[in-house]
Amino acid sequence: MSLEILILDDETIVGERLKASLEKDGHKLETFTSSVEALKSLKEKIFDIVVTDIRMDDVSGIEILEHVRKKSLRTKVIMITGYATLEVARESLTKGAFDFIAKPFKIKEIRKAIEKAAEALQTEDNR
Amino acid sequence: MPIVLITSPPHGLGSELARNLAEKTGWPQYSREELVEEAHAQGIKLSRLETSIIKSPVISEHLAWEKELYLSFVTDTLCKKLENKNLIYSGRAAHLLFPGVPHILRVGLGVPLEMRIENASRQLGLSSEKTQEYLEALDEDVKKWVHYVHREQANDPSNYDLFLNLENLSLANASLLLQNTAELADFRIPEQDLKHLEDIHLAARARLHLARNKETAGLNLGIRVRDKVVTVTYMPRQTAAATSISKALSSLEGCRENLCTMAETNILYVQECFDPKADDLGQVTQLAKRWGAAVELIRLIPKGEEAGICLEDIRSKPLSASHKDSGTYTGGVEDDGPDISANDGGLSDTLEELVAMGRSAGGSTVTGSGREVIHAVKENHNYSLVILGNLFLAKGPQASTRLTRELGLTLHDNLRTPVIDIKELKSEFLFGKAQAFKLILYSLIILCIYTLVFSFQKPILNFIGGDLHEKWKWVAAVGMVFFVPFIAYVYGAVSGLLLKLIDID
Repeated sequence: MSLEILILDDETIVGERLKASLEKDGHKLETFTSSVEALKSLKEKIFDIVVTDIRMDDVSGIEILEHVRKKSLRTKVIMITGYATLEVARESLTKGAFDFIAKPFKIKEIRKAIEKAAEALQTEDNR
Repeated sequence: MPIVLITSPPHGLGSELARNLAEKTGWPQYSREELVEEAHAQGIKLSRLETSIIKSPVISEHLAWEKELYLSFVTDTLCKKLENKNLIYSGRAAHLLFPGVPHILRVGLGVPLEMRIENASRQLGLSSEKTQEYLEALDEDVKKWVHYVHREQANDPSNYDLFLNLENLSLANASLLLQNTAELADFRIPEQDLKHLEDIHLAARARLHLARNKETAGLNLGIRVRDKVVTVTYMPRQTAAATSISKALSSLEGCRENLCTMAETNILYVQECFDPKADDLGQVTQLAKRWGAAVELIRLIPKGEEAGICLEDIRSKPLSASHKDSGTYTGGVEDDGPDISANDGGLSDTLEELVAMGRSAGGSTVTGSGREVIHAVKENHNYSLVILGNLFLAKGPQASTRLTRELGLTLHDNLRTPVIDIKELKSEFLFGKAQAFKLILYSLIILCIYTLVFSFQKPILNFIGGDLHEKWKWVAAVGMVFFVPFIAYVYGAVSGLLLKLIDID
């Protein structure tokens, strides 16, 4: 299943590494380092999956999550962060994040989360 | 000069109370939020440890190492914040910090859920229902955190000096109460306890120091400090790092001397399939705790039974303190490592259990027989005991017993270590119900014999060396031949069991 995925992380290397790996799986990826730019794209288009960092300068990952959930309940949001605490992780999940991955993580962890999200999307679409 | 540690539930006014108290007293105040920021600033990654509670991943040795690093960082940071030995710290499980140091005021806060919902709802912009859901889940997470990080129950009242219920008590009066309590002589830390605190601080600094050193980063070490002498205990598999540990500690400020020792006792447990919940493992860990030993697991798969499974060493390898150290910066996105076989005969789960107990000396899977086991453990020759569990399960009971016995002999000859079957472990080394029954029975036999001997001394002496002896010479001699070893055996068994009962064996 080919998915449209948005990756948002203020570190360029994160987007680059994820793009290189996930495109091999047949997904279409758009990567952003600016949360403002990502928000613009999110307003114009509905993605299947959004992978976002939490701690960013302009707009936080939690705000991105809130925006995505308001716009489309179908989109699955996966949070990634190197600054996670129990409180932040639980807040993200309560606000509707699909999964939460702490940095540093292995590519297979995000791949697994995406597979799970794809399964959930498929189940929802088949209803 | 009090140290006040305040634990409050999430969004439970702990920081507010700490600030109020700081304003009243002028003592320095620090919160967990500031501590987390400081950790990030110093490059100490907490994310994985924090989220592991929610995601319940494998409790790996690396996670256990991150936990130790976190606790050391907290100890070090709070000790540095002490001003004239005063400090107010508020946070999650704050009351469990500085374990074993008396005269620290350890405070718990009880805050009505409605109050917390109002507080959190305002901060997070969630509805009351969602906030309640969030807080209830978070409370459960915190319980798990306390259990994993501090090995304590979150609501154990014996860990608190004072517990304040803020339902009716105002924040101002609560802080007044705290101030009065903290100023009591009971919460002034005496000189000898301050030295203990300094030793705890030095141990924390030593761990951080070693974690920041490239050659010693990631090593799972035991660190103790007494009178500024740092003793580091490493596992046998880390022998190569011993020199680096000593070298790294030589530059540690405040360290009078450093001693680097290898863990003296290790128990090697060889079995075909492990189960973390099995009684057998409980017995092994019970013995390990008594001996202060670490347990190394070897899963032995007899040759030809599971083709395709090869030596799969999942011992922890030295890990870098930060992913930045490994060469190229990856932004936290790491390449996939080799996959660990999904069916590993319960080895990973059992190792998790041992890691959580702090008794893990690693584990590996070996395909073959005794020679392969010896090859796998050749670097670690300091086992105190080798335990053979259930092995050669595919064979019949007789063949299994024979092969296990042969393996035991091979291991004994090569490792020069006592080898024991798991079934004999309890009777040989542990004290259970059967041993208690045996102790009572044998004690009664001894009591009866002594009572009889002292009640009938004359006829007995007569039988051994008097008229009766003259008449029944051979009977007396034969009687003694049987009686003396019997009494020696019973007496020896009682003494052995008593020593086992009081953990001296």
